Amino acid sequence: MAEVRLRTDFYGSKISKNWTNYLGIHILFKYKGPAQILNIEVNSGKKGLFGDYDQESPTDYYTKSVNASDDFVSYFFDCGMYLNFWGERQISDCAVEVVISGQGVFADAVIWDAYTMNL
Amino acid sequence: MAEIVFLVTKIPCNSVTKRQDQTLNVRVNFTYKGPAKTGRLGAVVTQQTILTEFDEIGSTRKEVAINLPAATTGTQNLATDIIGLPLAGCKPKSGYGIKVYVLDLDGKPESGCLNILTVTEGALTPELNITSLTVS
Repeated sequence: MAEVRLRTDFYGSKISKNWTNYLGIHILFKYKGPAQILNIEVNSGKKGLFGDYDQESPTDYYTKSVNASDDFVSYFFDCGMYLNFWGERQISDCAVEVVISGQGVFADAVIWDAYTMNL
Repeated sequence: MAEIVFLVTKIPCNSVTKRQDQTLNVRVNFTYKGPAKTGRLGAVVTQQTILTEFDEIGSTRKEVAINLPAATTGTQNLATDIIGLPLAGCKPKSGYGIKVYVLDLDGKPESGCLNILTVTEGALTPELNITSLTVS
């Protein structure tokens, strides 16, 4: 049986960027459960022809420790990436995908229209 | 002579259910009469066996220091919290009790309650939600 993964969609304001810029990425998530170290994968891409997500950048890997809690606790995670992988291409609808995984948890989120490239 | 004249164990509810990966907090209300003294107050989870009502599960034992102020003319009411009795050593079942006791005084006053704790199996099921994703 194929694995079903539900993705959460967010929408940005198409901030203007060019290939020499750095993109800050800010994640807020809630967690409850046993203490563990979560894996966080971040990449950037754009909307594909069929509305799907097309990854264009390499994936950056991070980890984040979370504490044991019976109730949801909010956590921040900030990271970023240089945008030189786009080169001089002009893109109007750049997106960022974040995947957080750990023992018993998986969350996938994309922010569409996050920024424009070289426009 | 230092003397614990009355010792009562209380827990937040008449019965408490906890998972093995959680801990138990015990509040002990007691009265004391005697000179100022330092002692230890302990709590331990117990189970009933054929031989005894309060068979101690040693891995759950927790002790805290208590400072007993002088009370020569009458008894005084005191309360102490014993925080974080680990329950990992308890098998999942109901019917556990609690025993509390005092050390470093004359004798070893102790008291307990039966059938007040149920321990369940399994760790907390983890959940994670991404609630915000922004760029700058």
